[in-house]
Amino acid sequence: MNYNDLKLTASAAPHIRTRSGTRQLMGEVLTALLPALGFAVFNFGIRALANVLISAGGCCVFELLYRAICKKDITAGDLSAAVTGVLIAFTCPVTTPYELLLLGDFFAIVLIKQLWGGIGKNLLNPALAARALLLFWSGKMSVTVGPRTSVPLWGVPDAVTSPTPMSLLRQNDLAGLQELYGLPEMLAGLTGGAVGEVCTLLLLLGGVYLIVRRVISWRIPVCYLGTAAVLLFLFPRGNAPADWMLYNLLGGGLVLAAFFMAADYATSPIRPACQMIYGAGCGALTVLFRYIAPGNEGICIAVLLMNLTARPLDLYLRPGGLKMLKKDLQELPSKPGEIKKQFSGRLKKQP
Amino acid sequence: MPFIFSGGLPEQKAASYNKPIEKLPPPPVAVLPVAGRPAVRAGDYVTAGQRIGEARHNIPVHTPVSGRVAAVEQRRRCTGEASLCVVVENDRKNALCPAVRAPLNPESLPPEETVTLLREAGLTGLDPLGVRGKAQAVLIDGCESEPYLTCRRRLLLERPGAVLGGARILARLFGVDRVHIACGDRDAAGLLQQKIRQDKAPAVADVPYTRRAGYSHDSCAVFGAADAAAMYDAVCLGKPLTHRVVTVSGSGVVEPKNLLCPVGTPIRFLLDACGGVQPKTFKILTGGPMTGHAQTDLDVPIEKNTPAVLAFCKDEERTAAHPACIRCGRCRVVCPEKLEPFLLLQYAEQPDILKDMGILRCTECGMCSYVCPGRLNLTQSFQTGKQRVKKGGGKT
Repeated sequence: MNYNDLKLTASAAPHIRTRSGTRQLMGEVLTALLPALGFAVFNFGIRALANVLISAGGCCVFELLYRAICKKDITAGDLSAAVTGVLIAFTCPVTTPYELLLLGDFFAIVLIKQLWGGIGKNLLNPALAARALLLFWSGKMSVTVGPRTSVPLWGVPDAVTSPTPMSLLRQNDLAGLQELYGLPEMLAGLTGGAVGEVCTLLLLLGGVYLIVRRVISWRIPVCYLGTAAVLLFLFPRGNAPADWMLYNLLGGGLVLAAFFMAADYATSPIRPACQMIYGAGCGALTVLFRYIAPGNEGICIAVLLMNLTARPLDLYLRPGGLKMLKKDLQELPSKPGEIKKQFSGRLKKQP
Repeated sequence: MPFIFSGGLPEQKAASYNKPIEKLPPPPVAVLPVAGRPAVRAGDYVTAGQRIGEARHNIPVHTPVSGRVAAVEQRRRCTGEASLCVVVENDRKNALCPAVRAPLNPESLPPEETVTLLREAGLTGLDPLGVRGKAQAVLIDGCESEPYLTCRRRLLLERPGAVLGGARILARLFGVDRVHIACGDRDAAGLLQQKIRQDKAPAVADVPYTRRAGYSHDSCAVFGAADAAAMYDAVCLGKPLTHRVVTVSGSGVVEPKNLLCPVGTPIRFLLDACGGVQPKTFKILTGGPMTGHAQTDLDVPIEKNTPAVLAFCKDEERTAAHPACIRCGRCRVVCPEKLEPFLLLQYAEQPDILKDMGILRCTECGMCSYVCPGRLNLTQSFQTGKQRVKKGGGKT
C-alpha cells in the first residue's frame, strides 16, 4: 500500500484524549440550569426566556468581538461565555431592562474575564462581578413581580413591585413571609425574586446532576450550605431558629450561588482541603453580609471576596507552601518603581 | 507497602481482543539498531539468530532473518533519534545460525549460568535480576499497560506453557516457592490456572485474576509476561529473542490484528499485513497511545519493546486552537504520583520550584494530558521540566 498521501502528525504523547473538553463540561452546566430556566418561564412568562437568551447571546458576542479585535483565537465556542450569560440573567429580576443585562455582559466578559487573560485566568466570577456592578442601578433592579406573573417582552409593568422573600427577611419580617409563602412554595419557587433563583428544588436537582456527572465536586456546595445553615440556626433573628434558617436557605439564590457560582472552576480552589475551607468561608461571609449589608447583595459580595482567596489557598496551603509564602512575601515590591517593573515583566510573559 | 491499582482508562481493546496471533509474512528487510561497532559489515551473509552487535547496555542483538547485510548506516529509530543500524536483506531461506544452541534443561543448569544465558539471548527487561537474593517476591506482569494493547493477553492465551516455563526459571533463579502472575484478564487467568492444575510438577505460580492487583512485599522483582516467555524460549528452546507479538490496532487500521513479527521489521509491513490504513488516518504510532511515539516515517523498525503499532483517524484528533487551563483540577485527581500538574504548569519556567513540588516523581504516564478538558500538553511540558531540573538549574 502507498502511504505517501497520508498527512501524518507528529506530536508528543499521550496520543489519545478524553472526549469531555471544556465545551462538553460547559454544556453539562447549561443542561443543569435548564430545569430552573423552564420553571422561570412558567413563573414569569416568556420574558424570562428572552432575558436569558439575550444575556447569553450578548456574552458570546462580546467574547467573539474582543478576541477578534485583539486577533486572538476565537474561544466563544467553548460555551463558557454562554454559562456566564445565563447566570447573569438568572441573578437579575425578570423586569431588568435588556440594556442593563448587556452592560453586565460587557463588564463580565471584557473587563473581568478577557482582560485577565481569558478562560481560567479571571480572579473574580464574571457573573457575580456583573451582578455587583448592576447594584448601582438598584432602582431599576429592584422592580420585582410576584409569582405566576407574565411580564411583557418590552417595558416595565407599572406598580407590580411585590415583596420578595429576601426583602421580607431583610426587614426581619419572618412572620410576614410565612404568611405570604409557606415552605413548600419556597422550595418549589412559587415566589417573587430573580429569574433563576426562585426554584430551589430544580436548582438542587441541577446541582446534584453536576456532582453525579463529576463536573463539580460536592465539597464547595455542601460546605457552603452547611456552614450557612449552622450559622443561621445559631444566630437567628427572631425566636424561630429552624424556620429562620430554612427560609434563608431557600430564598435569595443561596442554592444557585452554592452550586453554580461558588463552585465555578476558575475562581475556586482545586485542592480538596482548600475547597472545604473556601466553601465554609463563603457560607460564613454570606450570613455575615446578610446581617450587616444594606441591600440584598450578601451572597454576591461574600463569594467575590472568597474568589480572591482561591489561588493563595491552593498555592500556600500545601506541603512546602509555607516556604513559598515566606519567599513570595520577601519578594513583594515595596516601592512604586518596583511594582511597575514587576507588572511590566508579567505583561510580557503573557502569551 | 501495599499497592492497589484501580480506576483507569477506556480500554478500547475490542478490535484486536479475540484475534489470534498471526505470523507476519517474512519482511524483505530487517533494520536492527546497534550501539557501538556492529559485528558484521555490509556485504556479509548472516543467518537467522546470528549475533550482529550490541544495543545499549551491552544487550546482544540477533538478526531474525537470514540474508546479506545491505548496509550499516545511520537510520531513524522509532524513538525519533538516529542510530547506527544493520540492515539485513531477507533472502527468505531462513537459514538458521549454527550458534543457536540445542535446548537445555533449566533444572540442571546452575543459576549463574542461566543468567549469562539469558543475557546472551538478548533479553531486555532483565533489570530486576539485579535484586536477586534480596527480592522477597517475583511478579510476572500479565496486565496490559495501556489501552488498545492486547498482545499480552494473546500471549498468555496462546503460549501459557511458555509463560509458566519462564515462571519456573524465575522461581529457581530467585529461590522463591511461588511466582505471582498478575492477570487482568479472566480468560487468560482461567487458562493459566487450569494449566497449573494439570501440571504434574509442584505449582510454581499463582494467578490472582482480579482487576485490582494487590501485593505487599518490600522488594518485588517485576517481569513482563513477554520476558517470561522469552526466558523459556532462550533456556528451554535455545532461541535468542528475535521476534515479538505486536498489536496493530486503532480506528485507522483496516483490519486490526495481533502479529508475531521479527524485531527490526519496518512498521509499513505490519500495516500492510493488516490491510493498510484508512485514507483519513492522521497519526501513526509505535507503542501504546499514552507513551508511544508518533511516526511520520513508516520505515522505522519495530524494536524489542514495541508493543503496538496504532493508527488513528482524523475525527479522533482532540486538540484545541487555544489550549487553556480552566482550573478544573482533574489532572490532580488522576495523577498516580499525587502531583499537582496545574501548579507544575504554572511554574514550568522555574526549575527550583518544580523540584520542590516533586516533578522528578512524574512518570510521564500521560494521564493528566488525557483528562485535561483544556487540551493542554501537560505531560510534554513536564518532560522538558524534568530535563531542566536534572540539568541542575538553567535558572531564568
